Amino acid sequence: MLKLVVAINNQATISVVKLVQKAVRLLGRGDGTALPGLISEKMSPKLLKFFADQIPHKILITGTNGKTTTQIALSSILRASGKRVLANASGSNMRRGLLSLFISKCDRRGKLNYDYAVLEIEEATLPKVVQELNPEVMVFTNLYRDQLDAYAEIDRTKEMFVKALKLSPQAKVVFNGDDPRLSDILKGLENECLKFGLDPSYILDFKYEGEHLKNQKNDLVASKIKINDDLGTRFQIEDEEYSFASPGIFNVYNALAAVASAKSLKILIPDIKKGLLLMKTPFGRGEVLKKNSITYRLLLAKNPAGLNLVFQLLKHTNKPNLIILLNDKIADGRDVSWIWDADFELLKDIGPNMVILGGSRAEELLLRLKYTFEDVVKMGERAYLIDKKIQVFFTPDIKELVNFAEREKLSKYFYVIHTYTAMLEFRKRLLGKALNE
Amino acid sequence: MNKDKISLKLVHLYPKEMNIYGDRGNIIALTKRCDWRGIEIEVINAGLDKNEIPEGDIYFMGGGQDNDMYLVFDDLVKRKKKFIETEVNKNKVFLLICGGFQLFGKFFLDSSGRQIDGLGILSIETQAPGNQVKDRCLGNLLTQIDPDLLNQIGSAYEEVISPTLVGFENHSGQTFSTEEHFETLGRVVYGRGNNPKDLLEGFRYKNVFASYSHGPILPKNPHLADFLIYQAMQNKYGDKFEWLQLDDKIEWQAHLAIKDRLLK
Repeated sequence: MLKLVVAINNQATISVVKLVQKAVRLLGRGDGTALPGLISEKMSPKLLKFFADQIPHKILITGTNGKTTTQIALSSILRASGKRVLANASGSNMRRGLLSLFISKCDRRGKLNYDYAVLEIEEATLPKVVQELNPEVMVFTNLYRDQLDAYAEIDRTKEMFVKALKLSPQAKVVFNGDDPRLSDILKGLENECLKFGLDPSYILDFKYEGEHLKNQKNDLVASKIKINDDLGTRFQIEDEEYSFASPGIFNVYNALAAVASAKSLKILIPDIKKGLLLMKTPFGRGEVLKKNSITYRLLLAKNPAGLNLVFQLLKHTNKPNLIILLNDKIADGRDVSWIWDADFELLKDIGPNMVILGGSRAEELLLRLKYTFEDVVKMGERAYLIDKKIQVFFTPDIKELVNFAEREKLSKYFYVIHTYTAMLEFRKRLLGKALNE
Repeated sequence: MNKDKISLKLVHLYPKEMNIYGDRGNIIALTKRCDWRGIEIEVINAGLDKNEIPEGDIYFMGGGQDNDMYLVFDDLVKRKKKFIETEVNKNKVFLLICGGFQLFGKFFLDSSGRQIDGLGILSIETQAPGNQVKDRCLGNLLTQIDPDLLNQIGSAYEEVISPTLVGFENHSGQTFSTEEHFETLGRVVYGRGNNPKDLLEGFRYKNVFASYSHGPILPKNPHLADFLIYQAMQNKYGDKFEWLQLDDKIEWQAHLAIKDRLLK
């Protein structure tokens, strides 16, 4: 009897929510996962488990940086080996977003038709959903300082990971063995583990916090990392070469996380290689946009570690033209103090030709630049010259900034470093819409 | 003149443990503003690994995460209290942010009810209301500078464009004075400051300046940054030093941008 009630209840919820999703879409209110998720959560508290139980293999990906790229890489690999894959986007990595995703993908009776679910999960959400989702594999990319105003402190994130792991003794754990914080968490756990990492000669570029464990040995090691001229990347694991289109050595970690997960799911190496090669560059993570014969390469940076990695990547370019956009809305993190923790000093090695600054906290960026270099001279109302060689343009309004770049024809190629909502504004201005689909 | 070059020593207390939310920006601001004036500045790190704190002209300590703070409390209060007291009494300049501020008080009562003794240099006590994020004082912070402090700043900084301080606070601990008369940095115009009741921000005692403002506080508040350097210079050189005013248009532009938004 109870089962039947639950079934009817689920059915009602699914119908209502499908209607709401349609309405939200018709009204053009973005991707709108919040409201449908809220409704389903209130109407049927057991719905998440109901959906998760229908998919045989579930892989959860969490960590402060690289969740989305890892998800896209692993989904691409699984699809290359012929599996039916359900994946989420970063906008739906919390409970309500997941519910909304499941409902939008199921049929009218609530049936889901997938072999694998590859889901990135926001760190604080993980312990709250892990039992219902019952993952076969859990992937931990890293544990950096990120959005500290959102969950206060890293120690708390660490506790969330530990809590989630204790609730999931069945899950195979795939994790970044180069990150001392993660190694520390996983010490003493009974889960089957697979550690991945870079050849030690590359680790110097990464500012992991904490003491490295002695005699730490990773199960999968990427070596011979090469960055191509188009900023695509190649690397080797044992004697096999893998390549993919995302830029930068830090994306090797994400690719490696996906390869390690695929291996633990017994996917064959040729399929893994094919999947990586075919993977699309994720939204804002090295994505290329073209408009009026200007190319923009989008590089998301939302915390010091992420921004330092972008700067490391730009060392491979020659006198690049940069656009840096800093917003301080909730999705960006309202506290912009992190730009003072990031190593802007790396810009001295990069030697940009030009920097255009924009976003709701562009003034703060200009100030950070002033305190990076020796001297800043004002050349015009919105123009500065840094150390007699770097041109800086200051246009906080992103709409104006795009017009300015197009009108002045300053360059044919820009690297755009941006926080999350700044990217949405930038895309909207450039392409007429903020999101794909 | 060359043989005794003008110089200052800046001691960064617990740079590994007490450095969060961009606090490092304060070191950058002090260093650059000394460089631009031709004052040689040496930054010395003094962490848990040092048995003694090296003597300096300016001391800086930022905020930290709870666990790191406990380690630092232990080290500082048990092993280095005497040195700090002596330096404070010599009118040395201290800038303390968030956790550093709390640590200089009498005690800190954490969310589990544990009481941790501080240095007792500032007559304050701090209590954490609970471990929930919702209890945190979190957001942009705008402070009207205390008139007496503003007057003092005027001796070091000629053109204070706005008599305010801007920053970003992020703390669960709420700080109260244990005495009736005390000096602060000013009155909170936007945000919380020491606690949501008094609407006061920070604390002053001799040349100790304490604040809840991350952001970091100094780059966007050049008047405060210069005042700290000026006090340290006076301490070391009396009145026998040259003091330049810098061009701070970019600093004030950043200050006013966030200030104006908060007052809208």
